[in-house]
Amino acid sequence: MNLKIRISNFKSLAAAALLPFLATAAFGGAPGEDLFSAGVQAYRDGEFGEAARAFRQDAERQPSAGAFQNLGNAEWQRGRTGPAVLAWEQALWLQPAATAARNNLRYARSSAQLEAPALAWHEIASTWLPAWAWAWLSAVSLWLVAAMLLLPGILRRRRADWHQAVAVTGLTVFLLTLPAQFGLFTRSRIGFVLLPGVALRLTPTQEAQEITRLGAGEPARCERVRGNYFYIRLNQAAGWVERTEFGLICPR
Amino acid sequence: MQLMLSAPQLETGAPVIPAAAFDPAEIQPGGSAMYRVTLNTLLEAITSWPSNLVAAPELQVSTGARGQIFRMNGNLMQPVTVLNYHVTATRAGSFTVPGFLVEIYGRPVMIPTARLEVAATGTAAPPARRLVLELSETNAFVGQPLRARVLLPSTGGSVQGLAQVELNGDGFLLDRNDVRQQIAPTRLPDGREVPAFIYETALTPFVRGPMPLSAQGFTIGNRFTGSITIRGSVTIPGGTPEYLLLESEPVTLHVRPLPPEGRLPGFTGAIGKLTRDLPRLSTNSVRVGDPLKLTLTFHGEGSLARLAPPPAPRARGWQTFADAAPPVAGNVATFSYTFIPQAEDLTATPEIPFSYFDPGRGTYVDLLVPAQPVKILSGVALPLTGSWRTEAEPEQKLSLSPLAKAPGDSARSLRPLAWRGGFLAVALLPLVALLELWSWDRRRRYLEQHPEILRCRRARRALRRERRKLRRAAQAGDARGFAISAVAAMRVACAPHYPAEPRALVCGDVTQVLRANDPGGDTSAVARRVFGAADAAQFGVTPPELKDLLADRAGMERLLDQLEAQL
Repeated sequence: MNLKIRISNFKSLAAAALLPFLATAAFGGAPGEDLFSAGVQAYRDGEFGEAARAFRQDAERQPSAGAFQNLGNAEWQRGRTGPAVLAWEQALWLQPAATAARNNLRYARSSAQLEAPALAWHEIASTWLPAWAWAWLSAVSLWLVAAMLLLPGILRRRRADWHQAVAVTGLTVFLLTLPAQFGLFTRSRIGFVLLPGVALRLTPTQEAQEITRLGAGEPARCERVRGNYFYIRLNQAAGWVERTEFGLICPR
Repeated sequence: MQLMLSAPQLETGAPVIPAAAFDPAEIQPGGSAMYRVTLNTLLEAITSWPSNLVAAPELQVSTGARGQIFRMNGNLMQPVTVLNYHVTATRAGSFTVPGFLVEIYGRPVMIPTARLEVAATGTAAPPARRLVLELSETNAFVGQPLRARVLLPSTGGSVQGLAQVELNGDGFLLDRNDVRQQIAPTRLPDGREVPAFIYETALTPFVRGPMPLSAQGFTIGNRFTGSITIRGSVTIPGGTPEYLLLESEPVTLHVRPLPPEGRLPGFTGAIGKLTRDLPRLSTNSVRVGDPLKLTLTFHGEGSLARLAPPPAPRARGWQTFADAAPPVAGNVATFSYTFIPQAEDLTATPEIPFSYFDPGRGTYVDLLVPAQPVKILSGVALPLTGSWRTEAEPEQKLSLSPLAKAPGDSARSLRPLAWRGGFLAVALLPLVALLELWSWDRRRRYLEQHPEILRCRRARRALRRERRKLRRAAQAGDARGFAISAVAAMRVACAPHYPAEPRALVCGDVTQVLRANDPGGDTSAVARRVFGAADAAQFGVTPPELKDLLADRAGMERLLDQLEAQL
């Protein structure tokens, strides 16, 4: 935005607007290269358990698309389909354009006869950009609209056409980001069965009647949490599973 | 070709010999008889037939069944076509149905006259022979298989067979592959138990509502077709049969739709009472990729010819196929499925949901096929080398991607940024800035409407500045500077009251302000003395003696306090 600002107060406003972008760096950070490299080396040595542990620690310390993708590879090599699928989905959550993770998911689902989660249109839209991008896009477009509507009056400037054009554009962008934000919210409740033969229970208790058994990597949506149990909904059934048996893309 | 040549030829060129008669030929008033026209031609050969039969007004005539059958005449098959009419007489008398012309193969054929005697005093003629139609249920559900029995009771102890049996009506499917014929003692609706020819078949209604049904069939004497079971002591007549087209009284079948509530998974439309044998596995130990066959056998009380098998389940780790179902006859149906394991961690075949509707209880009943335990051996079966895949359809090769070389995009947490408190705080900063700007603008507009506030504020700042100079001059013993600073302080303190430029004010202006708030005070005298001293110091020829002016510093301070309070 190449706005020529003559008034000193407006400079402070511009600085406030730039602050979020400056803060982006603070929210990110340099991932731990040591753990990542150790994981890669262990994987190449065939120590998949060690590699998975290193990648998991790296992802817990600093979640990154690469760490999750490699964690998925290591878990897959260990024969743990559920954690592998979850890790690849988390890599896509951080970096929707990660083709390697997407390819791995297709491969795993084809091999294990697994279904991909059925996404609604707003959830598909939310995959077009990373989650952080949608947040900033919403915030910047909203305040841009507010600034274009309020500042000319406050600063006693004539309301120009370009003010309105920028406001309309900002409002359009803001409205378009709302479904994607909602899609992010609903996608964050998607999770995957981590272990093979997980019992889908009628009630959140150990002695509950089993509705069916779930295979590792099957997708489901978490609808409620009670104690140590998630209430999940699959295509054909719904019931309770233990927290340790089900992993959410976006852990609570 | 030899089969065609050896097949008996159809006699179509013989002259048509029509016959018409009442059965019986003599009835009582109110009784009914069958007016039957018999032709030795094909039914399709009749090109013109009167829609309404001309008869005496005392006879009520309605159309009945019509059909055709073939009888062997030497090496020729001779068609026999029969058209029935139901006739009811309203009073006694002798009535005739006059002869009428019809067209067969485009040629006119005269149907002869038939006479019906209606005797008021009774008759010795036996009533017309009729078939009896019995249904296993007269209240059924849509899709429920039913048994239909067509009975031909014996006459005089001799039993004839039936052929070309048809059920007349709309909205049902007739299963001709499930036909049973027998001759057995049977209790008739009038209570008599007589030997009868029984033709039993299955029908399935597919529309709801009342459904009138009737049966028709030709008597064929002892020329039975198909297998037949004979029970009890019966007499079967010999000689050439008499091909009579008989009918039954109509029976109404009431058909209801299936209840939508309580439907269970795996319901494929099966209705009746079903049981299932234990599932049979071809083996319980396979390698990944090896096929495994699961066989299911269902038993039903009725025909299972139309039983749809449960669909092959979809389950993780299994490729499942429903094998082609063999034709079902009778009340036993067998289906098989092929399962191919895709992973070594499988322990059981997938469940197969299946349920049926029990019309007796009016509820759906679960017949779930449970998972069968299997052991998956290590190792993978060799893939089939199919030749169906061509170069035009290359197999899509999926494989595990290599490791990422760098961590790539990272985040502080997997939680969406919008849900984090830090982001919300940063995102709200523009709001703070906008609020600040807005309040600044409001203050500015207020001050524009009230400029005296700004003047007073400036005057107070200038007054404090001048008072500091005044005190410094007093401490230094500089009486001239004291007087000049005191005058300047008084001017800036009084300027907003006019408003005016401070330097333009004179002593009178100051004393006027002082008198306005302190009419009887001595501050005006102090002001005049200071003004006079300052003028003398600035403009006098000789410097005046101002030492005593410093002695009245306290009075000056009070004056300035009073002026500051007025701002």
